[in-house]
Amino acid sequence: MLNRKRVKICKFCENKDFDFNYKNEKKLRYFITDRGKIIPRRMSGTCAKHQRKLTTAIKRARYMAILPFTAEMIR
Amino acid sequence: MRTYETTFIISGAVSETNREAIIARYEKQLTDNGAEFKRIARWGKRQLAYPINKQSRGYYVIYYYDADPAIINPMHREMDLNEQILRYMTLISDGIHPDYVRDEGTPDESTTTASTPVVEKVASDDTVASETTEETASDETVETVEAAAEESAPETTDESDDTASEKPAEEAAADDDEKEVE
Repeated sequence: MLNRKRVKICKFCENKDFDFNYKNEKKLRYFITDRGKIIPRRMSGTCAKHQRKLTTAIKRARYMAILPFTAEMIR
Repeated sequence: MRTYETTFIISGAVSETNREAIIARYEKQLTDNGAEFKRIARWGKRQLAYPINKQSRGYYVIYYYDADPAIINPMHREMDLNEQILRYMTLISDGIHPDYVRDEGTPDESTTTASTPVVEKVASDDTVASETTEETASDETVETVEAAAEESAPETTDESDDTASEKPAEEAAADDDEKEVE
């Protein structure tokens, strides 16, 4: 509860250099859980605009097998 | 004319000569139809995040080119018919970003494919250091990944139960949009 209240600032608004590109594998990996789920806005504090960009990038990366859809699929 | 980028994955089972033929073939198809190539980036063989057509590795190639939109669909049709191409995706390019335009050592590809992945490790080391270790000793790392996933599983499921109901619908909608763009 406490944590949720503290995290309010969108990382991408603060740091404008982030490249929302599906090929940006390393950076995108920070925004998925170890099961492969996209980390929700309420946990990361990302603003709506940037979360949208992030999701499209992650989904494109998933389609190109750069990121996993689920952890089971690693097998 | 717009600048596009087409990324596609050639099955890891394809031999080097066939692979080069595939790459050259689509390049030719595009140039014949008036595309101007800017760059071809070869990521080289990579571990796929999940198996596609029972292949766990694939060779990634990215074309960067200027072209009229009309010539892209014919290429996609050809790619659909080619079973050796596992995936493709064409997007309007937002510039040739140096971070992603990496090449495996193009001249000594023969050694890369013919011999063990160890040689390849040198080529793609800078790109995905952690991944390359996975490639060499895949069995070991997979186990650790699984272990890690299992540890964290209870937490994540607790948290995300309430979102699970909302998400699939959203995702499906977004996916549809994407396909149209591509």
